[in-house]
Amino acid sequence: MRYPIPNGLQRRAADLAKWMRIVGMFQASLGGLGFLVLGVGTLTLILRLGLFDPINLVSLLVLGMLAMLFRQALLLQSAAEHFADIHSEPEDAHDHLHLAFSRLHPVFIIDLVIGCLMLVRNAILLWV
Amino acid sequence: MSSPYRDESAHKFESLLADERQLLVRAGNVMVWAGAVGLVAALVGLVDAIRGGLFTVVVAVGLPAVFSALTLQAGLVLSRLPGGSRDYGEIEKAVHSLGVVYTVKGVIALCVIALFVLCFFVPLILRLLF
Repeated sequence: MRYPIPNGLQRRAADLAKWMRIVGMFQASLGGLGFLVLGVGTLTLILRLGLFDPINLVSLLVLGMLAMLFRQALLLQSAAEHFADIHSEPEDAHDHLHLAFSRLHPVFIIDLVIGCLMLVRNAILLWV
Repeated sequence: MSSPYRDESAHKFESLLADERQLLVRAGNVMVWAGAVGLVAALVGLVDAIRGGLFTVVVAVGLPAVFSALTLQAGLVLSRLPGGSRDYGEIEKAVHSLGVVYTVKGVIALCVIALFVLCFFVPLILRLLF
């Protein structure tokens, strides 16, 4: 037998799910659109200039970042779905809580990677 | 050996299972790292942002620093779960911190969408009407 999830946690999880969905949808739209537009542009440049041109390498890096942001948005959506279902029966609610945090784990790994990139960028700007 | 005549209602309630707690603690640890690195990145970027003016400081340093601090707070709470039924209170605190982060991000997203609609669709509709 499992403890029922407390009402306070259910309420806060439902609030979090609502805003997480909005952020996820927004990020997925922007990331997906950016990936498509930049992907077509990069592919054209690769065909014209070759793979190892510096511009193409930078474009590929940005493309990778956009792909990560898109993946993060999908994980956010999935975590939001599980947070929203936390008010079900105790057994299921614990499964949803577990699944929500298992989706959030890679979300924050991506945040960590973005944070490291920002740190490198800001350190270079500070140094130059 | 357990008695086959035991009272089912006397069963103990279980809170989080060991693997569930482990996952939450692991997620908390990643949040701590993400928050700490984000906070340091924001502080390093402060010097350059000051040259850009108040708006740049708020957008490029202020908001990321607040998000990172709240993520760090949520991570610290999750990575030190006390165990038993008290875990729920701590998870609630972490979810509240994340809730603030995603509420602010969500409001910013809605504002950007509203601005996009105002700048692109309203002139288009006005041009079609008049």
